Amino acid sequence: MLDYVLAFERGGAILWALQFTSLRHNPLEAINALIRGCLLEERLGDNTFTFNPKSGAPQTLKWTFHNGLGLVFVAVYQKTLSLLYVDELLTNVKEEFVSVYKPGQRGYRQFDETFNRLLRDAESRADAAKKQPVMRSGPPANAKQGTQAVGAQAKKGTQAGKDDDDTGAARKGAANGAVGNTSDGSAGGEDGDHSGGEDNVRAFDVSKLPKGMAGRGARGVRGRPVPGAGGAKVSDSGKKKEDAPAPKVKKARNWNTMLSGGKGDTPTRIDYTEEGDGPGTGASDMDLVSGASASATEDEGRGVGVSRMDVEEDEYDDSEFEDDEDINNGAGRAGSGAGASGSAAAAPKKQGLLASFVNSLAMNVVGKAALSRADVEPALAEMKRKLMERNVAEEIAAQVCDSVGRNLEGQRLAGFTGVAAFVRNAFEEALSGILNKRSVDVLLDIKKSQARGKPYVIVFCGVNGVGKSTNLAKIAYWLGSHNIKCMIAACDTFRAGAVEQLKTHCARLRVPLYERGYEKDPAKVAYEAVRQAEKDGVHVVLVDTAGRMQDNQPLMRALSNLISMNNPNLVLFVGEALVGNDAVDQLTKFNKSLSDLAPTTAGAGGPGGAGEGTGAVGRGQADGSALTRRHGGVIDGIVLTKFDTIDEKVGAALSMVYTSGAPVMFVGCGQTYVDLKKLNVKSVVKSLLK
Amino acid sequence: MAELSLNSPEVQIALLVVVATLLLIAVLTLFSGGKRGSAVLLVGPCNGGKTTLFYRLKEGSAGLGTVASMQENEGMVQVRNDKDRVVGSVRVMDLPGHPRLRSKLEQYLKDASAVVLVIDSVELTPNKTEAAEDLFEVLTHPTVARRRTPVLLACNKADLETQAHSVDFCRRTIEKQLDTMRKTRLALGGEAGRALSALGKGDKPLQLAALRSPISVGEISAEKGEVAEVMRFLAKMV
Repeated sequence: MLDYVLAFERGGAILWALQFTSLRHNPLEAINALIRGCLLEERLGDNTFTFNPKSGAPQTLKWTFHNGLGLVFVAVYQKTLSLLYVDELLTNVKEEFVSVYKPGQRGYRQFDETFNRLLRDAESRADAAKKQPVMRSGPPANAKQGTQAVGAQAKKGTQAGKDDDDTGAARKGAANGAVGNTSDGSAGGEDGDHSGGEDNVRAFDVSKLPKGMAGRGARGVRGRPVPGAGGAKVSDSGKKKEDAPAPKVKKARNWNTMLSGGKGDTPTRIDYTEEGDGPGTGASDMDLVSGASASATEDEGRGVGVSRMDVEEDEYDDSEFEDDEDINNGAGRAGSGAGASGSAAAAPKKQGLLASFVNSLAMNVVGKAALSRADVEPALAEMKRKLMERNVAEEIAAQVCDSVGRNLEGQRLAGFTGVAAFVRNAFEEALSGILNKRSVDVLLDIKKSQARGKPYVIVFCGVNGVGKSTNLAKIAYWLGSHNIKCMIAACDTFRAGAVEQLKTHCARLRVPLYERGYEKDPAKVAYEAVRQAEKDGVHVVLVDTAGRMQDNQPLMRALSNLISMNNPNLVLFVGEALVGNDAVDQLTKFNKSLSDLAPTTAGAGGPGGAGEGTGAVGRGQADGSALTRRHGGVIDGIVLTKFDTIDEKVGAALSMVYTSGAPVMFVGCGQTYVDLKKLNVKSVVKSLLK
Repeated sequence: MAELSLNSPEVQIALLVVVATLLLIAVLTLFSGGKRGSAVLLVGPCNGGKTTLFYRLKEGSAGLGTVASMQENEGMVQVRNDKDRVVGSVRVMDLPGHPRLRSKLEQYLKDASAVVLVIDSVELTPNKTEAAEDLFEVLTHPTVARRRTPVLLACNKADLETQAHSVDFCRRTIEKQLDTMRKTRLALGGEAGRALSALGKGDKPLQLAALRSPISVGEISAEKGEVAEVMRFLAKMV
């Protein structure tokens, strides 16, 4: 039986509510959790949401929108019941309500009867339908896309409870099989699921494999663009972009000087092993910390040695330049030249020219017709392709497009805007919303911990080779420039040379290093480091851990142990911007393993990033840091590295933020100490939609 | 040129056309929503009671309750003075408090004639950072600083007497938060430097009363309808 049904406006006012059972908690808590955790996070593609109240059984929420009037209808019921008629019921309720609705009126007592009648009808239909076998349509569609979709796994997880479905067991098997594969998600690859129980998977057909790298689609091997194209496009506008200012093409190093008799450039200094000083200046260690070292990147004219976190980005108004760039883009890239105009023109071709002309005229000029799914479809497909071209993980692109599509259905265009522009606006808002997360003010939190006399502990985790140690050193440099005393704890006791690498950094930054050599338990090393820091009055402890693959259970367990034992204030996941579809997998598995495998789990967190309410491991609040668990998951922030290697393919930022719900706190954009900056959301959104 | 007199049909037609065009433009502007013009903004962290306050001001009742807003609400509010007579009406806009929708704040601050920051005086301490951040963003916005837009810090949920903190306590907590934020943001330099002058000099602890924009503080209860402070504030805008 349903617990609670609700109709409310998008602006927040409740129009009509009906409560069936009395619960110990306020039913509005569930609704608020739904709004904050799901509807506002562009996860409209999921169609159920689970809420775990502090007292009582978990509840499932289902919803539907009426975008034309801006209304939302939600039904709440116990999770253990599997009510099949709720979706239908909600659709019927929506239609009936719209006929009764008067804008400005709140309180529709007369609707109770109508609702009860609809409920009775729906229940009786459901009883009748139970006599026939139930067909599930959701998950096989996902599997058919050949992706080991996170969304599918999450659905499989929540539907595991409702196993009135005989293929449920097979699906679980598929999920386990899928976990083992690295989700590279290439466009041609439908070779993912090997498990036999899955309905629509064919046996692995070798002949279907794409030849060589061609099958990877528009993204190429690692999506590195040709520097020439980037330079030509931007040089006209003459503005400084954050990632790659126009003239900044990296000069290829000519190695002929190394060989005798070769003609090459005069060797600029690349060997720094001896004097241990900064690049290119011949200065001593002193100058490095005091900020006199010039950066090895080609930034000219900036103050020496100031970390790029503290340098303000040029927030330029790009609206004037959009047209120029569009023209340039059209000329520069033949393939995507068709672009948005092509998609808008393609759809009407099916309908017949006159009808389509009248239709588009009606929509664009008069602005009366409500948008239907078919109208937005081509524009959505185009946006999805664009996003994937920009290195956004395929499933994330699909989910975002789906969610925006649902938001747009039924809305009316304002006069004189075309469908493509409208869709683009909606995307811009959605993407800005996803990326604009309330980021932890690190400096503020550090000051708070300082006041308490406890060191602020930051743990860096991630897979192998993403740049943890390098970016850790950059952050130490940045903190040092704000007069914050840090200490580095070398808890990577596995990789050869890890401790020496940190020793070198510490010598140059003049920061104390706590290390116990190799083959020691990292959790204990971290623990002792924090004790030592407290004794020495150090403000921040930066803990470097070994890189580990997200599937490696023993290592994830060890990391989880480290985190729970030391209760760090901030857990940063370091991910490289070059990663493609694997970003989703990495983050989900990290979040999940860290909360599931922790030795003392206080109600292990739900599917990474989706739920709110049950925090993962209870930490962060005890010592008064301002971290509130809004996104449910252990990872508090993301460090996005190697950002200078991608020009516009900035999609990894979107995939990571969407999956984990954590904000991007630092962006590493080079290999020297000053190459650290904040994520410029406007510029990223602009690159994604270009 | 001798034929140009008001009686000749050509001139009459031309005038007619001009008048018709002007009428059309006027009609279109009016019907296209008239979004220009100043409004009073209701801002603040999630769950502070902004939407409840909005409906209380607009309709005089709290209705069936509210949930977290996903979208802004806009409406005209009849402003009554202390003697309960209507002195005018003001356009009020209720912005959602969710962090994801905070970009709207910047957008609407440009046209704001006044800002009401609604905070929850019961759950003050867990939300003080967010409240202070919102206030910080409002005060350091260039338009607000330039126009010296008046700001009202409304401590809501005063009806829960024992649990709600006093107005003074709320004010001092926010002041302290702003002070710390001012120090850390100043350290970051750059753009913040200009805007921070709106928050006064860094040597003395921050006092809300000492800042350039006129800031007042008051306690209200949107649920119970005790919104006199906000009404008085709005009356100044009319």
